[in-house]
Amino acid sequence: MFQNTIRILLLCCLPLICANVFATSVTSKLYTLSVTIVDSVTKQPLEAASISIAELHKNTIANASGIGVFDSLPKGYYTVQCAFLGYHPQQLKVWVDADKRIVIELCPESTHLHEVEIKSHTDDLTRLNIQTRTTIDAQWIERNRGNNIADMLKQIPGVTSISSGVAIAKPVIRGLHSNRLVTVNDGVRQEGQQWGADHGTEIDPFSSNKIEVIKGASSVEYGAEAIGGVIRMSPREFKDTKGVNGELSLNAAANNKMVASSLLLEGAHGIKHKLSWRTQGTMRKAGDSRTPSYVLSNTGFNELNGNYAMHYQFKNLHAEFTQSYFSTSIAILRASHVGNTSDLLQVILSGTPAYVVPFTYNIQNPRQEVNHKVSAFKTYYAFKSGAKIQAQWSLQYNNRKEYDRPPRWATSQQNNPTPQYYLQLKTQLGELKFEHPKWKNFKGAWGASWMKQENVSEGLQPIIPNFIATTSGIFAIEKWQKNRWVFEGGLRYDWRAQTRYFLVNKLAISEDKNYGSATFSVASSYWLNQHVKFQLQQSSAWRAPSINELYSNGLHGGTATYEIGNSNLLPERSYNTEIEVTYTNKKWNVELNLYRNYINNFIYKLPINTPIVSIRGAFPQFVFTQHDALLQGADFVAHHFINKQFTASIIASCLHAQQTDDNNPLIYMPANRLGLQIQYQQPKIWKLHDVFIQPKYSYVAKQSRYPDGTDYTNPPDGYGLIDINFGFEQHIGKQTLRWSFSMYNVLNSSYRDYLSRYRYFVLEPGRNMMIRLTIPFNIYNKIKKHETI
Amino acid sequence: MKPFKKIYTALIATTLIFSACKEDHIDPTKPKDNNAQELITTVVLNGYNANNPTANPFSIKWEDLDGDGGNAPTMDTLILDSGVSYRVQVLMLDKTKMPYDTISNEVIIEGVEHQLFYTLSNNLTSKLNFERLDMDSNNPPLPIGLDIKITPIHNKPFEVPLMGSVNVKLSHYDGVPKTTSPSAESDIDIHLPIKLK
Repeated sequence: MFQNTIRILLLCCLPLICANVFATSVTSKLYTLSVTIVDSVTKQPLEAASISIAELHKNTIANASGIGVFDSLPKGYYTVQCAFLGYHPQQLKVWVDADKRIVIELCPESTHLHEVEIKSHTDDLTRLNIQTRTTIDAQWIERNRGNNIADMLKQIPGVTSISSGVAIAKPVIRGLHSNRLVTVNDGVRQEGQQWGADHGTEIDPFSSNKIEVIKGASSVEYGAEAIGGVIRMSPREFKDTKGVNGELSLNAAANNKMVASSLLLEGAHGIKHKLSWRTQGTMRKAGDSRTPSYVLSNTGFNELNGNYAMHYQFKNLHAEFTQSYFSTSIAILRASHVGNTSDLLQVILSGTPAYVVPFTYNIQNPRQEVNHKVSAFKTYYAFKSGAKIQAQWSLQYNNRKEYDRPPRWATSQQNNPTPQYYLQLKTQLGELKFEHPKWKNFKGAWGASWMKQENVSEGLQPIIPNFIATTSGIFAIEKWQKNRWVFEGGLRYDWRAQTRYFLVNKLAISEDKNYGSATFSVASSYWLNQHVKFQLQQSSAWRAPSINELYSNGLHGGTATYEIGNSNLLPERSYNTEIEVTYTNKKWNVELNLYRNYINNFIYKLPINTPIVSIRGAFPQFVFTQHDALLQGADFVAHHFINKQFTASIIASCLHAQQTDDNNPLIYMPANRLGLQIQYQQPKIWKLHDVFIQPKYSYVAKQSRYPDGTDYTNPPDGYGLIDINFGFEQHIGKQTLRWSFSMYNVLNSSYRDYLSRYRYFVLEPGRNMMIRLTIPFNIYNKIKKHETI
Repeated sequence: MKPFKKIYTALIATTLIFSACKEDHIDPTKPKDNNAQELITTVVLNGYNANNPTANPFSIKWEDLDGDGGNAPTMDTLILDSGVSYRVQVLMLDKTKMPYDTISNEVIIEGVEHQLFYTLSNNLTSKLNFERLDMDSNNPPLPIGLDIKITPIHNKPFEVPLMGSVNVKLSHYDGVPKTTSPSAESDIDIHLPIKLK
């Protein structure tokens, strides 16, 4: 009976694993899931068993009838986890597209364990972590995919982006970005030249099916450097049923005439020895963007990506091999490359870009050529006791070439341009994790990681030196859960040994630097009742100064600044306190986060009074320096479910960032912002399914807090933008077509954004329209029609 | 199952293609000397009496041999006699190359896209006149500015010596039309001290 229940539930869900729908709280209709927990032998209800939905981080406790209810669930595919003292924990995948009731039977630990297939991610330590996180699901990604990944994440309170045109944008979490965030793609920590504010995320935007943003230090799990947060991107899960199917995605945008297409194929074969595979190819091409009044000349991009993955399963042994290739050419706004400071001031004064030509797809210098290759091998073994052992090895190559426009008189460079810098980074990563079975009320994981990076810098003016760095770490996380309480604690220690190689009078010299320190975090959450949850977290993390902060020495073309590293910098250490209150009922879903992040020895660029005098003129000098800093703020989100069709949402975030030694505001910190959104949805209108309309207003205030006299101009005025999203599903015979349309900056407003590196030179892009079409298709499928939902 | 054999074959083929892409050999322990850049290290002003080529010769230079940053540039003072008109030829050199690369020759060839501007410090604007004599092939022609004439203006008597400076700016017009005003891209932007006797 028990096995049958599981089997039926699993069968119902399996085809939907590929159906591209995961949990969300952003766009869907809401349902109730009622879970009844009973003893598998006596069928008696289990009062006070804990039930949670992993994807939504919702927890509840079964009542006297063994029933726990989850209100207001969006349509989606969920992992329901049940645990009760003295019973084997149970985990089930459930497809929710209507109000549902399910019964889960837990086996007493004294009886023989039934063989149950436990499905979970290879790298899934997330259930151990109760930290503030927001998940963006496949549906949301599909409906909002735009020019870059960072723009999609702006929907999350506390997340903004630092951009250099539409092609380059990177996420900023509560004011921290670049080497203070860790990006994890498909379980592998993404390693490129992420220190550069104009170095975008080198990941195929079509390859992610789920993006999680973890705010605040998460260094215990992800290693030092995750001082500001983590962005976890996951691809589609492997196909589980026999057969082959695929999906074609097509995107087009009006503003920069972008066209993008991505083709995905996936399949699964065999039963005992199960082999699943997935492969995807993506191409994206865009020309110059447009502001309301002029073309942003030389801002196109051209991207070509491919990846494939294979997963082998034999009983409880899983092995996975993936390779991915990302390559892009990005044009850098011609008008942003100025000669020197006086040229820059002249451009700012004139208010219009110096170089504007008609629209083109051509990519000219200045430009970036980047490619990123990842090979990864992962394996894990799930023991029947619930323990899991996991090993992972990966190799990444990141090649980045940045070209400036050579002067006309430099004939050899005109004919055969040499990049300004050519950086080649090789990263090898090894990870070993052990998750112990639940013991008393403890769950936990222990692990070790090792990373070796080798960097070679070439080019006319390589900004960073050659180096080899090895980072090793060990960690342990334990979580204790009982009734309404969850406690979590983590401890980690990292060592970093770094050797830089450089020339002195044509002689190679090396210099070593070693760092080592501990990271810890403690957190607890408490359910006051069914609706209210409190959470408190205290963590401390550290980060060794990055290679550019230590040694960079050169001119930054984009802003005409000369950056100088400081090899005496000490590691940063953060002390982060965070309080979260969540309220959920049938009508409301409200979340408030308050944080206070004190960073000791915060590293930033300080302008020096004496400029660098060169033959090309004077350049302001920025030297990396460190002082104590305090970043505190609040993130707020509230969804009000007015009825089955309408949802109203408010998203707000504010940040107060201060350098506490001299009591000065920190420069380039995101301004406070507010978003208002109404969503209308209807399962069927005429012949269209899943229809939604989503108008949105977002307001970004003027950043009034900045250090006086250090920037070329004051921060730009605040601005408000209106976006409209609209979409539906079309069923033509057996074929489904999913359409979505977006209009961004509907009023074609002219504005500048404080976190845009182009703001000195040009306006932000004007109105943009996007069309997206997704066509899932079946090539061969063994599951008969009546077995699917 | 036949079609899947093909897919497996395709997969294996892709694997091979991916693995076959030979990576650049990375050896950070042997840093290279990255000095292929064409620079302007030196600006030389060669002058003589405009009315008598053998009289009042001078040769002064502004020099920064190690490029941006590093050691500060060195500069000579342009010493002018308030009673003499000068004809001056401007040379731009890259002294990191052997033999020296004469960049000013390239500037003459690319004359339609370059222009030198001479801006005097305020105390000298009414005392000296910089006139650019060489013209490019634009229609109407616009000055290049490598061949100049410096003429003292004797409007009223002033106390000598007078210390000031001239800003020499080489503007570069790449993709934008050359006009009588400087572009936003300066290949050279230096200040030369002037002593007017």
